[in-house]
Amino acid sequence: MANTTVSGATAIHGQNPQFLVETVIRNRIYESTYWKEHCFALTAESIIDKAIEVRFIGGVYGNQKPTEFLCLLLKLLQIQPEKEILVEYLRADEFKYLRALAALYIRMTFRAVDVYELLEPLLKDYRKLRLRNMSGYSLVFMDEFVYSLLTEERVCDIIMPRLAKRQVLEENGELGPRKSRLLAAMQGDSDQEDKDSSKSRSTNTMDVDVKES
Amino acid sequence: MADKGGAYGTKAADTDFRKKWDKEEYAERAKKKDQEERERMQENEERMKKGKRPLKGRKDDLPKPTQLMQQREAPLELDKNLGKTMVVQNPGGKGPGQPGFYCETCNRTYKDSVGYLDHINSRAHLRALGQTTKIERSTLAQVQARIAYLREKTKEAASAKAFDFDQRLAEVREKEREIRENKKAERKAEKEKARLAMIQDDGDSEMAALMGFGGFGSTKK
Repeated sequence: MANTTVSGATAIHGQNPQFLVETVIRNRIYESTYWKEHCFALTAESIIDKAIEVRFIGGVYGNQKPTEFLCLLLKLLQIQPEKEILVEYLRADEFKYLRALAALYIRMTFRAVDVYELLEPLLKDYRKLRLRNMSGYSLVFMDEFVYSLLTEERVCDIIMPRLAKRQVLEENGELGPRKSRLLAAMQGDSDQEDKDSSKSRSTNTMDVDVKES
Repeated sequence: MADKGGAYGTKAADTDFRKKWDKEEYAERAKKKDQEERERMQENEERMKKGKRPLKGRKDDLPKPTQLMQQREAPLELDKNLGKTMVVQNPGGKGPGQPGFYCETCNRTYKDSVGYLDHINSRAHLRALGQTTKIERSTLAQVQARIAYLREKTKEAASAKAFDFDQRLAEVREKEREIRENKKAERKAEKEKARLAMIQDDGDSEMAALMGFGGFGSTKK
């Protein structure tokens, strides 16, 4: 039926993937008109069209109404596309809302190592995203959103599954040390600095780097 | 009463509009329904003897579904008739022309959009369309092709918009120039006219002065 998980789907974190969205919000999505009218019989291919029409991200807004973004996320959980398809969504960089959707899905369903490997490159994507929540619209940036995916417990009114700490994965040798872009920039800068000796700039980068680590 | 008339001796002619029931037809229908029910019960009896569950309602024998669940091709336009006043063409009957949302495949009318949406997403409706409830799994290649297509499309749309803008700007400029020139020409023509009139006036008065009189005494020309 229209709301059942696709047959042959693998359990994620030991349960039906659709259960990653809490019951209350899930039922609200099932009742919403957008779900019934536009999300019916979407495939991994046709969901792209819908995702690039999305105008804002977020969980529920107004009268606890689920956003289109959330409806599409539930649809992805329901149809469970292959991993390669999700990576393909991430790589389509001109469609930022599709990318945000894929990032959230990857955070919720993939293994911790894959999550770090796939999402950390997105931290250099500085585009704006509209976020709509109970208090109205606000502005976030893609790197901010990805950072919250990696660090926070609750994003877009969905409880994120537990993610192993990066440090632990590094100690186990599953993940290499993080390549900081700032470090590279700083080293590049320090080479230049000898030539033009711009002090203010170097102090700026230092500040940002401290915050980042 | 003996003659079935009213108190004033009139027949009740004003109730002729009431529906006359075709009793025979309805008796026929009732009989048919009873017959069907009887057959179903007999069948159920046999099923019970074999240890199977009895059937609840009668089943339409639809052909096997031939295709997977498909997306709806056209938009539903649920708010197409919003705020319109419409005449109900088929009062008191089943089928189209009733107020509400009508499903042609299943010949049913729904009073609100939610009920209608639930119906067109339902297994029964899909079955009538010849679809299963399984969706097609798209492959990586399909997804890549789609993304490439959409990328081209958005690029085209963006460039088309820019082109439009330039063209429009040029059009506006052209129009403004035309208006300005028209105005200029008009003003020039007016000036010319005034000048001619003055020359004529001047010539007349000069001649009159030369001849020693102011005019011929007639204002007619």
